[in-house]
Amino acid sequence: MIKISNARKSFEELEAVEKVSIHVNKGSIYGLLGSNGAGKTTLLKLLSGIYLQDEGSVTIDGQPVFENTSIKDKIFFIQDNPFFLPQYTVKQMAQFYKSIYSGWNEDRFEELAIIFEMDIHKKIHKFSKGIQRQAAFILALSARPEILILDEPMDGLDPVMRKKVKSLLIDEVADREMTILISSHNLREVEDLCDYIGIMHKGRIILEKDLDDLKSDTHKVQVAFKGPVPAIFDSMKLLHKEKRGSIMICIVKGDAEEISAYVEQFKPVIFDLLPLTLEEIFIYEMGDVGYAIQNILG
Amino acid sequence: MPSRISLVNKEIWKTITRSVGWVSIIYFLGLFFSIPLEILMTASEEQRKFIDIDNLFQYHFQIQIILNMSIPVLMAVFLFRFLQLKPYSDLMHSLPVKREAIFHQYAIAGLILLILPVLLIAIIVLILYQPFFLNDFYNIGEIFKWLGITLMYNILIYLSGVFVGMVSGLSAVQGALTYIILLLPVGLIVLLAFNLPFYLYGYPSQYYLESKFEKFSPLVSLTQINYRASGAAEIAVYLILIFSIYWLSLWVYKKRKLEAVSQALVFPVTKPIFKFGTTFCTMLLGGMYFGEMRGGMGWLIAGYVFGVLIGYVIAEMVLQKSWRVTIHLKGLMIYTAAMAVLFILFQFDFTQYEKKLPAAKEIERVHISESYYLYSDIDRDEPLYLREYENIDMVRRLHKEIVENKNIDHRQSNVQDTAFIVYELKNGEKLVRNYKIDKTNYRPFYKLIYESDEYKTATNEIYKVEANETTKITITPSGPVNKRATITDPDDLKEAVEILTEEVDSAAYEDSQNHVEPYAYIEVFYGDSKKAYMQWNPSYTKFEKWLKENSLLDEARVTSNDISYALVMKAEDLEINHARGFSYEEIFEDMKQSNLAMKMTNKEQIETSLKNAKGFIDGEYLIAFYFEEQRAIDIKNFNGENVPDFIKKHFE
Repeated sequence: MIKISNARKSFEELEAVEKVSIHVNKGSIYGLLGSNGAGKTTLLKLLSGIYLQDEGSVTIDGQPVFENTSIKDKIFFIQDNPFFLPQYTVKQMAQFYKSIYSGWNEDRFEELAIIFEMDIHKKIHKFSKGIQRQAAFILALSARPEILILDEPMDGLDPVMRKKVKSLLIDEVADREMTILISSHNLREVEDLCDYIGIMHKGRIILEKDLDDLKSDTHKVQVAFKGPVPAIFDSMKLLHKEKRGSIMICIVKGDAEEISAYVEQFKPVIFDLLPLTLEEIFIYEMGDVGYAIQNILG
Repeated sequence: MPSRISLVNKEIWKTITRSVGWVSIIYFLGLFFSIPLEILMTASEEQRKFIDIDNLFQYHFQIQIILNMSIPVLMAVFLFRFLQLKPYSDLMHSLPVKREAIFHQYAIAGLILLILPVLLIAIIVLILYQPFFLNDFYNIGEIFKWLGITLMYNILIYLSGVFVGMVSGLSAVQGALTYIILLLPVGLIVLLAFNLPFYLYGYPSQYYLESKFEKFSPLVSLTQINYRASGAAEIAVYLILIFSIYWLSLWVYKKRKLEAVSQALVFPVTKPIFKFGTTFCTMLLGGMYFGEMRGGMGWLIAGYVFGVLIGYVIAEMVLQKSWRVTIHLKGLMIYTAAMAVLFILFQFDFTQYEKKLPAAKEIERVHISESYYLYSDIDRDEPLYLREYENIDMVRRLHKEIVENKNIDHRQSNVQDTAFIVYELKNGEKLVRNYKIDKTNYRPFYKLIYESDEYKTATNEIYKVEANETTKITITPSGPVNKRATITDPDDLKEAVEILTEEVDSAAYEDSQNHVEPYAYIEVFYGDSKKAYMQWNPSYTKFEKWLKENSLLDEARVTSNDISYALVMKAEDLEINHARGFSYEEIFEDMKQSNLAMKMTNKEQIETSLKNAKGFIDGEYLIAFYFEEQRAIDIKNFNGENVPDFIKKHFE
């Protein structure tokens, strides 16, 4: 549905996005991870039709996004610092969006205002940062977009509110197959939300994964044998291996049951198959680059 | 949904009025205060007598000007605020609305908000027109003229602001650059006019500066609309500009890259243009300032260097948005090299400007005088022109001589005279030159031209007078006397005109150049209320003789009989503070107190002094005449060969 292929965008001398290709399916939640300056925001603005790529293509349902009103009508973009028309109340903003987005649902707006306990007649710029962000969510969800693009959306929200927002987003995705693109510099913030993860580093996508696959696919294996270690590792997909005393610790890819069955053949003294945290998976998956971007994982 | 994003989106319209409605309101209040309120307040019979108004611009014109200059730019800046603020820009451009639609909606809404106040005021004045008898001052058409002209300027200035907004990414830069661009045409003309004479010998700055160039800048032109009517061509050009700027702005907006918002200039190509354009202008400004001080070539170049540095640094500051900037020396060096090449090219006269001299057979007619103002400020239908081959050729030869002496004349500091030459060519073109020269170096040329029949006929009104049709001649002496000679007898008139014509005919060039004050000013009335004017120069001795024979001389000029005594002193013995200013009375008092002064009561001596004295306070000797009857003082001077012998003798 969303397809970016070989997109490049540079700002004067600075290369912000270099040859990026991603593909997002309808109804999925795609997390775009990267440290500051990795090019996440630029990519999201390309996708929202704010910027025009220098090269490559950015399409939704096969159509280019830039200056395409019928496609942009399906997209709602919330900036990293939500911005509202000067001196506007939530209600006035709602009226504004209502006149612009064809999918606007007034009932949904009133419902959400109640859920978030929002005073819709107060000027938005008088609200605190967190409330402003909630207002942005209310307005975005009321516009009923097919694609919601969120730039660092969890900043400034307290844990309770985060949970509320996350469940609302998941509901929307479940109810009407909304697609979400969400950027973050922190994996933990979005790991319970996303089903796809793309990691950006210096303008490039260095990794793109299905989270469920990744989690069920990668395991930590601890084994110990009496006597010499048999050559069991040759036929396993190993990401990492180390020896602590007589115990071998390795990170293995593959189906859990198949691995267990395979290892049991060699009659180990100790055998544990443990799940990995996402953080560990990424570090092992990405090898050297993993360390460079470790800060977004923790 | 195309219908939702059509041109008139009510919510976008609301946003616009919420953000710039106040500009419109201020404009309305300002205009209301200036015009309708003024009409109401001066409605009484008593006040109406003092109203001197014949169009709507003249009501509080200054306030109207300030409003007309500032409101459109304010409107453009605040209206397109959403372009200059990154999050605002991102918000507006993430909406499912095409840029074209955004532009039309905003630009047109701004236009409407600008037009409305003016239109309302016009309607109010229309309503007031009958009940307040405004037709005593102007006809009803003036109201529509005011409406049309005001709107034309407003819209042009506003759209210029819009256009600059598309190019720049900061509101402050948008505002400032709008004014700079509006003033640029005039500014450049002025700067070039002051600088080019240093490179193009003979470049007539004044001719270009006075040639109504104001209309090239809407801002300057706007300050003159209360008295200068806009011509049809001017209006046509403005209208074309209005439409083209509108579409150009839209075109630029579609190409605008939003990531460059908050940079001074959004399009990278405009940055060097801005940088070097600023540098060039400040360079010329530096040259103009130091060049006008006449400190010589060294100071001129210093002015350029100074201007270049200031301009380059300022441009860098604006582009980098900081006063602590890194100066890109490479650009500065390239610029300096380019200017050096240009300078050298000018030294070799690569445009052939200086050498250009039309062939005599190409020339239709030629004007020559001592100043541009003798060409422009004339009472006649057109300036003096010479058409005869001999004169055209003589002017050409004079011109050639001046150009050949370029390097000699140039460095003389006592060069006081100006030669202003206009050739009108047969192909309709004009060639205009202006030279600073010392006229005494070119006496033979001037003598031949100025003594030619054609020149005399063209410059002396007396030749137009038919001796038979003359009705009256008045001769008013120069000097603090109240007398005047009048000739009315037909025979006398005929004789006088003949003699005066003869005097002019035979006058030598030198007599017109010695700066001796004329004896009197003569007016010859002839035909139906026509009048010829001339001066009576002391060299016209035949006329003097004729006056004496007809016993008119005493009335016709200041004579020794009007003067009880005169005081003469060497100028160096007197302390005259020219800078502070002085009065004749003070100087006269000083002369009276001084024991160095020579007191003259001899009528003959006074008569000789009157003939030879020149009318300025400089020169070797000063002479103060005391007019008994009028109790008035006149101070003149003697210099060089004009000093009478008895004075020389006395001071030896």
